[in-house]
Amino acid sequence: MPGKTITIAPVSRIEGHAKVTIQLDDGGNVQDTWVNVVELRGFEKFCTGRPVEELPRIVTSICGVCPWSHHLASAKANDAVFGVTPPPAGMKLRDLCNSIAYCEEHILHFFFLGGPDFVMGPDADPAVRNVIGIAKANPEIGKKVVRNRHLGARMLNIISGKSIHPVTAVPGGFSKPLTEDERKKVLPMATEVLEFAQFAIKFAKENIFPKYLDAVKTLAVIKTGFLGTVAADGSLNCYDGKLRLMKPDGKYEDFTYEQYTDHIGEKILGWTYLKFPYAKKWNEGFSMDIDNPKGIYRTNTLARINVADKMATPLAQKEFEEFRKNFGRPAQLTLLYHWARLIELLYHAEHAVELLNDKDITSKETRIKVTPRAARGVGCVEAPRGTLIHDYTTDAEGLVTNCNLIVGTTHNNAPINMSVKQAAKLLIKGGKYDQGMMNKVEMAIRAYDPCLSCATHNLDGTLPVKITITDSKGRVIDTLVN
Amino acid sequence: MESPDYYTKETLVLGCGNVLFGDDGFGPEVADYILSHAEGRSAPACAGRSGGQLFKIPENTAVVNLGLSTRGFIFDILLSEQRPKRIIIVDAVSYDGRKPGEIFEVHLDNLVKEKVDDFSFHQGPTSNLLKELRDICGVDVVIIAAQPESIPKEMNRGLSEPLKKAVITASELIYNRYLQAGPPAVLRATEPEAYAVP
Repeated sequence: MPGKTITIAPVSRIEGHAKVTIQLDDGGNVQDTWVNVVELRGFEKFCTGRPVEELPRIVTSICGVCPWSHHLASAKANDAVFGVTPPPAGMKLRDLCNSIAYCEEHILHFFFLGGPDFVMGPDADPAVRNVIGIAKANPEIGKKVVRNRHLGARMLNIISGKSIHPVTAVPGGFSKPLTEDERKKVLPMATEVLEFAQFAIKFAKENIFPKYLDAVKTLAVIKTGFLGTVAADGSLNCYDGKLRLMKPDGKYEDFTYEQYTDHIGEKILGWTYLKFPYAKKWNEGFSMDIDNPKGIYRTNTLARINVADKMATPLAQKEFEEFRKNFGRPAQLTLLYHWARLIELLYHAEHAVELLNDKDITSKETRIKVTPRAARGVGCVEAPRGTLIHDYTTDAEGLVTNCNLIVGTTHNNAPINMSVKQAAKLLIKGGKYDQGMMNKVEMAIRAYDPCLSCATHNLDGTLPVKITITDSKGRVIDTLVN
Repeated sequence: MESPDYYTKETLVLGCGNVLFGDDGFGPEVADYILSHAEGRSAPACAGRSGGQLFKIPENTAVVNLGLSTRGFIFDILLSEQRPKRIIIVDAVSYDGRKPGEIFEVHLDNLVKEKVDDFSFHQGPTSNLLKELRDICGVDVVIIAAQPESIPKEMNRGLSEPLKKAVITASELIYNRYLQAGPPAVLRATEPEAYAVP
C-alpha cells in the first residue's frame, strides 16, 4: 500500500477555518500530521501610524468571538503606553465585563461546541451530534443555555452600553460609571448565571465526564508546559496579574507582561502562516516530537488551572481541589480542558457576583486623564482561548510605531498539532479510518476551543468534511465527502 | 439600552462582515446607515454619507451591526423559544459575472460555495446554520448581497466607491421591500431562486 495523505477540511465546530492533513506511511499508519489555519494578516501594518487610543475600539472588529478580550488587552496596553493606572472602579468594571464575557463564552463552548461530542457521544450520527441534537435530547438544558447567554448579553449592555462591539474600556479606565440602579438590576442576573454554573459542573460530573473517562485518559494526550496569569497571591486571575510559565515537570517562573519576549519566542515554519510560540527561556529549542517535545507549552483553561495555586472564590476552589486531587499538577490530559472550562465558568460567575457586591464598583471615579508620550506598553489578559498579548510602541504624539499581538489560539498552535498527531496515531492503523475516528481527531482540536480566524464556524452535523487522499508525492488519489 | 432588544423582535436586519477588510464591511455599513437615518434614533455616523431616505423603523424590527459576532447570535436565536419571523442577512458575496456594487438577493440554497464550507475572515453566518433556522425553526431567511470590488487579504479598512453607493441603495431596498411591509404571514419557502435587484 503506497503512502497517502488524508485531509480533513474544515474542522467543524471550531471558530474559523482549519485543514487537517494526515500523512500515512506505506503501512497505512500515521507518519505525520499538519493543522493548517487561516491567520489574521496585516494587523500590525494597519495599526502603524494610528493614534494608540483608537486601538481598543478598533480591535473589537478583529474577532467576533472574543471582542471583550481584545478590547481589554488593548486598553491595558494603552494604560502602559500612557503610564497610568486606572482608578479602582475602572479596573473593577473592566474585570466585571471580562468575567461576564467569559461566562457567555464558556457556556457556549461547553454546551454548543465541545459538548455535542460528549452529550451525544463521539460516535453518534453527525446529524444529531450538534447543538440541535442537544436541544432535542435535552430541551430544558437548551433553554437554560440560551437564557444564561441572554443574561450575559443583557448585563454587558447595562454595564457598558454595548455587548457586541464594546467601546467603554478606554486608556486610563472605563468611560461609563455603573449606577446603583444598574448594579441592582445586574446583580440578580449574575446570581442566576452563578446558579447555572453550579448546575453545569454538577451535570457534567454526574452525566458526562465519567462516561468518557477512557477517552479523556487516552485521546490527544501530550506532555507540555503551561502558560497562564496569576494574581500576586498565586490565585487564578484572568484580568490582571503576572504571567506564569510552567515546565512539564511543574516547576515554574513568574514574569511581568513586558518580559514576555525574554521567555517566549516565535518559530516560523514554512507550511503555515501561523507562528509557533515556544518557551525560549527553557533553552531547549523547539520540537513538536510528541515523544520528546522541546519548548512546547499550552494556554487556555487547563493551563490556567495548572499554573494557579488556588482559586479566589470558594465554590471554584472546592472544584479546583477535587480536580487537582484527581489529576495532579500539572494535569496533562487534553480533554480535561473541558472540565477546567467549567471550573473557570464557576469562578467567573462567582467573581462577577463578588464584584457587583463591592461598594467601590459604583464609584464615579472610573478613569483618569492620559497624555501622549513615546513609550512601549504591553497589555495582557487571559482570553477564554488563552493568554492574549497586545504590545504597542508609540512616538511622542501617541501614534503607533510598532505593534505585536499574540492571541490565545496561536500559543496553542504547536500543542494542537501535537494532539492531532497523537490522536491520529491512536485511531488510524493499517490505513483504516472512518467518520468516528475522524471526529475524534477533530475532538482533539476542539478541546483547545481554538479561534482560528476570528470568523464564524459550522454547526450542522452534515458538515462539509472533505477528506483528500493523496499518495506520498502529493497526487490526489481519492476524495471523500460526507 | 438596558437590554439587547433584538432577541424579542419579529424582524432582524443583521449587518455581517469585517469592517477591517475592505468591501467585507458592507453589511455592517448598511446596518449603521439604516440606524443613522432612522427617525428618532441615535446611531453611529456613516462616514461621508448623508442625505437619502429617512427610515421609520417599525417597533417590531431591530437593525444590528453584528460584524463578526454572527455565530453566537444565530445560535441563541436558533434555540430561543421566542424567535424572529424573519432575519435579513446583509453581506458581501462574490459571484462570477456580477459588477462591483450590484445588489441582489440570494436564495439560501444557492449561496456560493465559499460561503458554505470555506470559513475565513470575510464569512457571514454559515448557510447550514441559516438553513436550520429556516427549515427547523420556520424563520424566513433573506440574504441581501452586494458584489464586492475588493476584499483584501491583509487588513485594509474602507469600502470601494461602488460599495459606498451600494450601501444607500441596499438600505433603501431593505426598508422599502421588507421593513415597511412587516414580517411575512407565511414562510417564503417556495420563493424562486436568486434574482437581481435593479
